[in-house]
Amino acid sequence: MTEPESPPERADILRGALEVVEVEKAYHTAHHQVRVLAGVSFGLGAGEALCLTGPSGSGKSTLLHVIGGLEPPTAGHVALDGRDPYRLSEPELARFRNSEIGFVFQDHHLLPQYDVLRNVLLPALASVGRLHRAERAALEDRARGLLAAVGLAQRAGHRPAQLSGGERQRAAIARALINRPSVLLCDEPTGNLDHGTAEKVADLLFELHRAEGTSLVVVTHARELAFRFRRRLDLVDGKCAQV
Amino acid sequence: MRDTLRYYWRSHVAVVAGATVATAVLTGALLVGDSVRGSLRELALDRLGEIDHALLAEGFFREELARSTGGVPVVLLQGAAVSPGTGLRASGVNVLGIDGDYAALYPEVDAGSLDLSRAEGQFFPSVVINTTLQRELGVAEGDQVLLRLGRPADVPRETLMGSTEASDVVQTLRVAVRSVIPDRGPGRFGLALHQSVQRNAFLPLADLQRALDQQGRVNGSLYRAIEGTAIGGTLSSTADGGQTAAAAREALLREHLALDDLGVEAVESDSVVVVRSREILLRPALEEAVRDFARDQGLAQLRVSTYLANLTRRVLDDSPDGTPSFRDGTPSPELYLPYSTITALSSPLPEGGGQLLLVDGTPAPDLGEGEVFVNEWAARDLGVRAGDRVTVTYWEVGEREELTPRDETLRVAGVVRLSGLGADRGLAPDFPGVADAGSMSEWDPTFPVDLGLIRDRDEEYWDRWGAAPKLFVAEEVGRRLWGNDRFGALTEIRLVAQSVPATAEATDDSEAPREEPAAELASQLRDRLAGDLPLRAAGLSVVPLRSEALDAGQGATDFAGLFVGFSLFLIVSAILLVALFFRLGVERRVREIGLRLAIGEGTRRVTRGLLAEGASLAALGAALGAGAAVAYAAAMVFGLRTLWAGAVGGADLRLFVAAPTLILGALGSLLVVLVTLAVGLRQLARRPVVPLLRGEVSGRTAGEARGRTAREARGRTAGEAPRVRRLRIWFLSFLSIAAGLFAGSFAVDSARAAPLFFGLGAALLAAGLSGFLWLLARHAHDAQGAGALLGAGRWRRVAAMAAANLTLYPGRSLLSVSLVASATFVIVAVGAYGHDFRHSPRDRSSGTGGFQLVAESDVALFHDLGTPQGRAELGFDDEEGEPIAASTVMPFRLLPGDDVSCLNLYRPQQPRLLGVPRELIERGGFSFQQVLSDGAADEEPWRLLEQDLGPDVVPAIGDFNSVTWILHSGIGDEIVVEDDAGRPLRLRIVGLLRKSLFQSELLVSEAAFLRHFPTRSGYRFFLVDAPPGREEEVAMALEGKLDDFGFDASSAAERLQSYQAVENTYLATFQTLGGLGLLLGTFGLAVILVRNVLERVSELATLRALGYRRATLGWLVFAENALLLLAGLTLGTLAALVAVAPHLASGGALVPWATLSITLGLVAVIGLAASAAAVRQVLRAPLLPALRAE
Repeated sequence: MTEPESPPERADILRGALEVVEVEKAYHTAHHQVRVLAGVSFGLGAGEALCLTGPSGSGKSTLLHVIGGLEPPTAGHVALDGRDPYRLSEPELARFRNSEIGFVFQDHHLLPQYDVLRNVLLPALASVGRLHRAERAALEDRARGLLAAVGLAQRAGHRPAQLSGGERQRAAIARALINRPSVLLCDEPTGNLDHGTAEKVADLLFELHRAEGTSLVVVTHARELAFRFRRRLDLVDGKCAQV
Repeated sequence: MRDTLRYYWRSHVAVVAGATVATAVLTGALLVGDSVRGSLRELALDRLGEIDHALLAEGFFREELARSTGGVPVVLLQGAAVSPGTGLRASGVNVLGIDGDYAALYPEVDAGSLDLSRAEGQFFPSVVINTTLQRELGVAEGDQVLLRLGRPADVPRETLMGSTEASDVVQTLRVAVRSVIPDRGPGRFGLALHQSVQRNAFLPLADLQRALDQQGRVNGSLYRAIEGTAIGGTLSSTADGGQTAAAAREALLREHLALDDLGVEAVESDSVVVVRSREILLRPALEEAVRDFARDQGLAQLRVSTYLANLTRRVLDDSPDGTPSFRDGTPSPELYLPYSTITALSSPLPEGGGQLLLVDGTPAPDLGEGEVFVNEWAARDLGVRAGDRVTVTYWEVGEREELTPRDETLRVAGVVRLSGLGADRGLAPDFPGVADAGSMSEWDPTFPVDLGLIRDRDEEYWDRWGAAPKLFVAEEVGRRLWGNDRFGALTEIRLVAQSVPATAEATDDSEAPREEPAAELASQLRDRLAGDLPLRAAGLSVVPLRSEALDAGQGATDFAGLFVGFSLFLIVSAILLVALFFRLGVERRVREIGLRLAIGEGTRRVTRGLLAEGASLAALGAALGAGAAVAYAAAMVFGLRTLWAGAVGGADLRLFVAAPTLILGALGSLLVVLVTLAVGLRQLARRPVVPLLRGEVSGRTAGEARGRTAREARGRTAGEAPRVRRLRIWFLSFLSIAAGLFAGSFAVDSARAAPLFFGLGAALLAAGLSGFLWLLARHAHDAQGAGALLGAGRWRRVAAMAAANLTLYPGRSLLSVSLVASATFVIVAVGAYGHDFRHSPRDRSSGTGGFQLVAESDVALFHDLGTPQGRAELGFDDEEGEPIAASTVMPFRLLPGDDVSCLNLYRPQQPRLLGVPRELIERGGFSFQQVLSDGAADEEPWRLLEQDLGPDVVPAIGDFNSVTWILHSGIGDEIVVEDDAGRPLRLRIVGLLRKSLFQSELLVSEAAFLRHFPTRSGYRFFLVDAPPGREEEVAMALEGKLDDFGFDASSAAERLQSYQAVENTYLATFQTLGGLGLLLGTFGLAVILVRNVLERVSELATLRALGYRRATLGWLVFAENALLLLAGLTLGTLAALVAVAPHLASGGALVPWATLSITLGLVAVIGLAASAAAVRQVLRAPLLPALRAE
C-alpha cells in the first residue's frame, strides 16, 4: 500500500499542521563545531504525510527530534498547529510531547518489564491522575483496540521478549498512537526488519495515519518505504530539497 | 593488560578502593588484637621491671633466706589507706616494705624516687605512694596517711589459739608521704594480673617489720632471672619456660631453707628432737612428712596433741537415761577442775621418749577409746580414782570460728604420777596469752575464760607445774574431740634418737635399732623437710611472675577475633562492593568477552585473563589497605581508650603494628577478594555467547532460560504464575515456622532461648525476603492486566512502576534487600540485648540474687555480722548494729586470685575463689543458665556444690560469661587450680549462672573451700540483703565501723552493671562498626542503582520521549532504590524486634532505642541521599543518544 489518495477519515478534526522554519542545529565539541542542520524549512498540512530521506549522518533523526520537542534547534523554529514547543516550560513540553507527538523508533524501545498492553498504555499514564472506572475502561479499550488494529490482540499479555521484531515494532506504533497525537514521528521504523515485515509495518503506518487522522513524518533511508510517500524531502549536508 | 587497565581506569579505581577498604578493616581488626596483646605485655613488663619470679609466703620467713638466694626481700601486704587530712580513703592498697635493693629491680627508674629516708624533723616513717593512690587520697608530699593492714599471725586465727580480736587483726600505721611516683615501673607493681593501675605504698622494710613485730623476717623475695633460664620477654615465652625457671629457683631455695623458714621448730633435748610448728598445730602435710621421716629413719615417735579442758567434773551418778549428772547441777569448787590442759599421746610410748607411770609405779598401759588418765594432783582434787568417770568440757571451734562448749564423759583408766610425761610442761604448746603468764589470773588468752573459776590451788599448780597436762587420752580420742582436719591435730612430734624400734613396721624395715645424736637428727630432719616437703605445704610458693604475666598477656579475650566480628559487616560490604565494581567493570566489556569467546578463545583463558586483571587490582588494593589498616587500627585503639574504654577496663592501650600481621591480613583479604571475583567471573563466562555479543549482561544461562520460558508458558494458562505461587508457598511456610518458633521462645527458659532466637530470626528474615519477592512477582503478574496502574494515583503509580522495575533484576533486588535486612537485623537484635540491672535489685532470681549490697574487705573478718555477739566483737553497739541486724549478711571466704570477669584483659592463671556459705546454698537465688545434673537438682541447683565428686575434684559454679568467654570452659569441664598444699585441685563446673554478680570468681562450697584451702582464714566477701530504703544506711554503718578492715560496700546492681557495661560496650562497638558496614552496603545499593539506571538509559529516554517529565523519572528511579533500602531496613528491624520480643518481655532489657533509631535513620537518610545524588547525576545526562538508531 502506498500513501492513501483519499483524505483521512476524520478530516473534520484534523490536527498536526507542522511548520519548520530555517531550523539549524549545531553540536559543539572540544575543538570544533558540527553543523547538522543548516536552515531547514518546510511545512506540512494537518493530516498529511512526509518522508525524510538522506544518507547516514545527514541530520534526519536530528530533525525529527527537533520537530518532536526533544532537541531544541540552534536557530529557527518549529511549530505544531501554531505552537512552538520550545517556548514551553519543561513540564509543558513534556505534556506537549505526551499529547501531541507520537514517536516510533527504529529500536522499538519497549520496556521489557511490562507486558505489551502496559507498554501501549505508558504514554497515557504519564500525565493523568487517578482515573475513574469508566475512564480506565475506555483507555484500556482504546489500547486493546490499537493492539487489535496492529494485529497484536492476542499478544497483549506478552512481554516484549516474547515478541518477534515486527511484532515489537507494531506494538511501538500502537503505543505511539494511544494518546491520539497530532503527529506521528517515525525514525527508521523498518530499519531493523526484513523486507516482508517492513512492508507490513509500512502498511500499518499508512492505515493508522488514515484512520487516526494523524500527520505522519517518517525518517528512512529505505527506498521501498520512501517511494510509497507522495511527498519526500531529501536531506543533504543539513539542507533539504523537495524530491 | 596494561592498556586494558589504563583504558578502564575509572572502574578499576573503584575496585582498588573496595579492596583497600576490605583489607584495611580486616587487617586493622587483626592489628587491634596485636595492640591489646602488645599493650598488656608492655604493661606487664613495665610493672615487673627486672623481676622474673618471686618467693611468696603465707607467713614470714627469714630475710636472710631472701638475701642468701640472691633475692630482694620485701614485705607484701594488702590494706587500706586513709588520709586524716582529706578524710578520703582507698582500699585494695598494696603496701610494700622495701629496702634499698628494691629500686635496683627497676634500672630505668631513678633510685632516688624511692628514697624512704626520713626528712629532717619527720617523726613518722616515710611512705612513697604512686599517683593513683595519691589522687584517691588527695594528699601531697609531707601529708600524713594512715595505713591499715592485716596483722600477720603465726597462729591461724580460726583455731582456739588464734586471736580474732580486732586490735590483733588490724595494724594501723601512721606514715608521712615522702614522695609520689608515677604509675609506671614500681608505681605499677603488683601481683595481680590485671590491667588496672594498682594503688601502691612503699615503706621502709625495717619500719614495717618493726610495726608487724616481724623483725628480720619477710613474706616475699623478688628475683631476677637465673642465668640460662631467663624469660626473654617475648610473646613466645610460655608458662612452661617460667615453670622451668621457677623449678631452678626452687632448687636453689631448698639448699638455703632453714626449718624456721618452713615454720618448723626442732628442739633438741637429750636424745629427743621435739618437732613443733610456729602455728602451734602441725599442718597435716608437715605431720605426714615428719612421720615419714621417722619411719624411714627407723625412729620411734611420740605424737602429742594438747588442748584445753575448760572444766573437768566428776560424774557422781547417772540419770535414768544414762546421761551423767552432778549432785546439784551447779559445779561447786570441790567438784570441778578449771582450765586444765589435756594431752593425747600416741601409743605405745616409745622408750627414751619419756615415761608415764601410774601412781603404783607401773608403766601406764595403753589407753582405749573413752578412757582417760588423770594425774595424781587432779585425781586428788576431783576425788576420783580408776573406774570413776569424769566429764571434760572443751571448746569446739565451729566453721565460723564460733566457740561451742562440748562435753565428753570419759572413764578414768588410772591415776598417773606427776613425773616424767605426767609432769612434762613441755607437752603443752605456748598458748598465746597463757604460756608467758606469771599466774593463771594473768591469763589473756585468745579464747574466753572465766577467771572467777580459778581457785588458789589452781594457781599453786600453775606455779609448780605450769601448763603440764592433768589429763591424758589416747591419740585417737584427741583427734576425735579436738582434732582439726583444716589446721592439723598434733601440737608436736617427739622423735627419739636413741631408741628401740617403736613399731612392728619399723622392726621389719630396719635391721637394727638406730642411734642418732639429737643434733644430727635435727640436721637430717632439716635436710629432709627442706628437700622434700612441698613448699606450698609450708605456705611457700615460687611464682614465675614474668612468665605468668606474659602468658596471661596473651589475653583472655581474642580482640582480633572480636574486632573481625565487629567489623564483619564492613568487611563483607567492602568485599561485595569489590565484587560489584569488578562485575560492573567486566559487564561493560561483555561484548568483548562474547567476541573473544566467539572467536574461540576458550572460557578458561578469558576468565583467567580477567581474573589476572582483578588480581592485580586486588593486590594493589591489598597493599594500600595494609597501610590504611594502620590508620583503622589506630582509630579502633583510640576508640578503646575513649569511647569504648569500658570494654578494656580502662587499660592504657597503645597501637602495635606487627609486619607479619600486615602481611597476613593483606594476603587474607587478597585471597577472599580473588575467590569472590572468580565466582562472579565463572557465572558470567557460563552465559551463552550470543547474548554476550548483543551486550546482554543480566541474562541467564542457556539452560535456565529454557526452563523459565517453559514455566512461564505453563503459568499463563494456569492463571497464577508458578513463580508467584511458589514464592507465596515459601513465604507462608517460613511465616508458619517463625510463628511456631515465636510461640516456643516464650515457652522455654532463657537458657535454651539462644537457638530459638537464631532460628526465629532466620525464619523471619527468610519469610520477609520471600514475601518481598512474592509481592514483587505478584505485582509483575497482576500488572499484565494493567488495571493496577490505571487505577492508581500519580504517586502510587510511580511506586508501582518502580516495583515493576525491580522485577527486572530480581537477583540484584534480593541481594540488596538481603544485605540491608541482615545487617539491620543484627544491629537491632544485638542492640536489644543490652541490659540494665539497676532496676531489679530485689529479685532473687536476678543477677544480684536479691542482694542490694556487695562488700569486700582488705583484712579478713572473723566474726559473724549476723549475730549480736559477732557485731559486738567487731565494735558495733546496739544502735550502730541495728541496720545490720535488720539485714541479712552472708559472708564468703575468699581465695585471692585472678579476676575471671571480662573486666580483666589478662588470661587468668589462678582464678579467684569464693567459699559459698551454707545459708546461700539453702536460700538459693540467682538464675542458672545451665546446670550439670540429671534434673534432680534443677530446683535447687546450689546443692550441686555439696556433691562428693572424689578427693581431688570439687564442684564449682561460675558465671556463664566468665566461664565461657574468659576461662574458655563450660559445663562439666574442669579447671585445675592449686590447693593450699600445692596439689592440683580440679574444679568441675556444675552450674553456670546467668549474668550474675559472681563474674570475677568461681564458687565452691565453704566446706570444700575449708578442706582445700585451710589456711585462708576469715571472710572477705559479703552479700547484704538490706531492708528496702535503708541500703545506703547499712552500707554507711558497715563502712564506718569496719573502716579499719578496709571494708568497702557498694551497690550489687552497680557491680553487676559494671560487668554488663563491658558487654554493652561490645554491643555498642558492634553497632557502630555494623552501622558503618551498613552505610557501606547502602553505598553499594547506590552503585547498583546507578548501574541499573545506566543499563536502562534508553528506557528512560523513551519515557521522556513519551512525555514523562524528568522529575517523574527521577522519582521513579529514586523510588526503586528507596523501596529496596526501606524494605531491607523494615524487614531487618521487624524481624529483629520480633526475635528479641521474648528477651524484651523478660524485663531489664536495655534497648538503646535512641542509638538504634539514629543509626538506622542515618543509614536511611544517607542511603536515600546517595540515591538521590546518583539519580540526579544520571538524569542530567543527555538521553537522546540512547534513542538514536543503534
